[in-house]
Amino acid sequence: MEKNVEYDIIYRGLNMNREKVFNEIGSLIGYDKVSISFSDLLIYSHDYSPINLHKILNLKLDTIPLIVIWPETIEDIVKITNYCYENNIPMYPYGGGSGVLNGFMPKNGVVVDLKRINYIELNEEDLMVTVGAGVNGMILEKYLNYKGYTLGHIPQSLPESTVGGWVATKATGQFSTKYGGIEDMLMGLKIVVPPGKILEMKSYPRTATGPDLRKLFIGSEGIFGIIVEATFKINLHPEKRIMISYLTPSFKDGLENVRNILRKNIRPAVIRIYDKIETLRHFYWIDNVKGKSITIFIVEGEKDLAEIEARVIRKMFRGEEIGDNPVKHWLKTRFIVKEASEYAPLGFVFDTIEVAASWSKISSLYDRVIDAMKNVEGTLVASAHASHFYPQGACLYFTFGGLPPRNMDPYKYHREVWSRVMNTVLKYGGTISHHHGIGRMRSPWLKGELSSNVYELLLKIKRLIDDKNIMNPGNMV
Amino acid sequence: MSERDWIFEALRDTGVKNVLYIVSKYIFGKIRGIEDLVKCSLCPNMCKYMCPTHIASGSETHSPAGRARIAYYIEKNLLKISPQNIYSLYTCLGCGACSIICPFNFRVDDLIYSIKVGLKDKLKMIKGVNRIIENLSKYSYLYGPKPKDNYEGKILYLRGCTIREHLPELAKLTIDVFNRLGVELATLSEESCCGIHAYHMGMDKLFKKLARENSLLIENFGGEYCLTSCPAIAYTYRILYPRINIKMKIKVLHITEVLKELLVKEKLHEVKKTVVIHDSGMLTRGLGLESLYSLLKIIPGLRIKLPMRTGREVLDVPEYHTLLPFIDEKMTRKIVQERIRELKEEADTIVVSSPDLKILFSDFDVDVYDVIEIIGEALGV
Repeated sequence: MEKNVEYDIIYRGLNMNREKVFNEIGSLIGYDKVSISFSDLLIYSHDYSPINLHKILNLKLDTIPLIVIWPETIEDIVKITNYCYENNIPMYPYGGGSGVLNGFMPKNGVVVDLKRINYIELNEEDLMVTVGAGVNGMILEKYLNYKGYTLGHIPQSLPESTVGGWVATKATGQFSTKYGGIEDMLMGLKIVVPPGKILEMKSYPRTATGPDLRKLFIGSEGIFGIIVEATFKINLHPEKRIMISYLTPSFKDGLENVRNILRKNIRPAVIRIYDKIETLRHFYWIDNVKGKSITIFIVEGEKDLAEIEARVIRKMFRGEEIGDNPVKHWLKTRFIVKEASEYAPLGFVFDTIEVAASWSKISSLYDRVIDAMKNVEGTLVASAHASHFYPQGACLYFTFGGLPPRNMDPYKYHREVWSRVMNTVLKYGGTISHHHGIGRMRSPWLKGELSSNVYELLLKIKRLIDDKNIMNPGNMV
Repeated sequence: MSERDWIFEALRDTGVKNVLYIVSKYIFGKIRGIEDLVKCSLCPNMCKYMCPTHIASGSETHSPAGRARIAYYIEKNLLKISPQNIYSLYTCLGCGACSIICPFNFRVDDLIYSIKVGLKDKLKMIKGVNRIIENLSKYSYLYGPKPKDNYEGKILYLRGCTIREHLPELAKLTIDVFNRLGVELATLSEESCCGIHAYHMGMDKLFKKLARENSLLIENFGGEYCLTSCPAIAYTYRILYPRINIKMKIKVLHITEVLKELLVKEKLHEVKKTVVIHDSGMLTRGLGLESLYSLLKIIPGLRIKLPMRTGREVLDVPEYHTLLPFIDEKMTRKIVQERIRELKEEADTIVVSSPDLKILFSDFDVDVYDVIEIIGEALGV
């Protein structure tokens, strides 16, 4: 018998017969695609929201699925959706599990892990690739590189996330300033919605056939249906890559430099500006780095074009140029994430919050959010870097870390920081999310950002597509 | 400046009392004894795209961090021990692919070993392992009673259970090739299984027993070194035996480690083939040896390709030195199929450095050669 009393909480309110659902879905699509093993249920009980690490550690899980399913075809998903619709069973799509906002909390429902839907069809003539939703990001990018292409979508979660998850969360990657976010790459989409219908939106270079309904599903986080296939634009693998970095007296100097460069229509693939704390954290090995801010650039593409862009950056940037080693260091370490698993077991709470704002608001927003995080009792570290840029503004990626005061549990401390940051962002004109999405963590502030009328419209669309509220219920709206 | 300076900088305004609290948390907050397992189980699992069983099953439970988490729950007595709950601990191939990009340089098979030792009395719950346990305990040989297959020579040649049982002709060819190169190989009927299955099952006493038998056999035989065709033997003798304090003076080398030097002075025939190579992770990652490519490139006429499609140059398949072929035929087949699909994009002929793979790959529509067969052809043996 499992020892943990928290299971009582998990099972309370569970009105479904787990074995019955297992048998019925197993008989529909095959028993080797379904599991009710408790080990599977535990592993599929959460996403990678850092605060969940404390729950995982103590097995104090908020939710646990009824069953876990690994469909192998789109037809399997149609059957599962139809079954769940008929039986009012919630469905929770799962890609790589790298979400960080509790967008995935499988309460009394079936988890649909898409990773067995993993085909890749390359169309070299039209510069497109069509992929099953479960294809792993790193596997796709390496495949494209091998064939001479790149998708240009390189989120930090690349080794663990899936393409379906990218579309569902409206993800963006580290090379977004040149290649754009996933919304700029997506051409075609296949999605299964209740009661088991396939919606196919075909790929064209451009089409003027009414509202662009693809966009409705980008960032939908599983609340309308299950993304099963996507077609993306691809790019020739860059011929030349140039790496440049600078030190500036302040973070804001870096921002101002980049704003001026982007106004000239220069589009480096990567721009990253770190504040003083993060500069020291990531580039401690550079001489005289303390008290300064670092900016790194990667310019890539056709050799001639890349060289021209690099020349313009060098001409315009006001700072101390420090070579390509910092950029090489960043390239080498950009997928290393170890602080969370190192410090969570000790009781420390870490998280990141990404927001965005236009240039006119970004500097003051940085100051105010840093203050908001620092002002919560227990906060030890509050820092940021800017990692995605547009001629109109940028994304600020904040990190906070703290040790909750002795009388406060980690969840309360975590909620308090989030709450203050979200309220500050809304008050000072930023958007509450740049690329992680909404999930259950940000949903209390979504209405505040969208305004009541737009939020109402979102609710109406949700009800129209998913009239029984079986698709990732409780998420976002 | 040091790696941790940013923390001190960030904490500059923190009061002394707070700093003491932080330091005490840092020192006393650790979950003693299983810190590494905890780190792995809480990690974002960035290595999973390298894990063969995760790729084939699509399951998080069969991924490195998934396994670590299950092991952690078992250790903390938070999870009921049932065949289903502990199953993923035994599907791990021990290929070490997870270590390639691990920021902590962990191999999950190492991290979960002590948990498996604690589970050894429950092991019989796992379908398919009983025969292995029985054969290893009774005969010290994976497949039952050992065959009588002594061969006189000066350098001991450890063939490995699978080559002895299923590919004796390959063992004979290896002996002939080395004879041709002036190295007289000997085989012994008493050769025992290296015990890697016992290791994977957490059967520490059985593993130690087999390790002792083998080390005695080798030391008694003597010689400068001994050779093996089986990557698992080389890995187990060199990496796993020292961990249980079984250290031998005589080094166990995989045949590919000596062939290059032996072939330098030989006049080699052309081998007109286009081949793709599949390296064994036990050799490249486990022992840090060079790819087969560096050996085969000296053979005239041979066109060599590398499996690069998905970047999973090192995607291992479940050889017979893992438990997977014995407990999950379907997953085994899926992994092999996936790997072959990738290899066939380069060439229809595959060269391997492990005899197990010759058997596993032969079930599919490909030509498979063990490296010794290519060398034999080049030498005219």
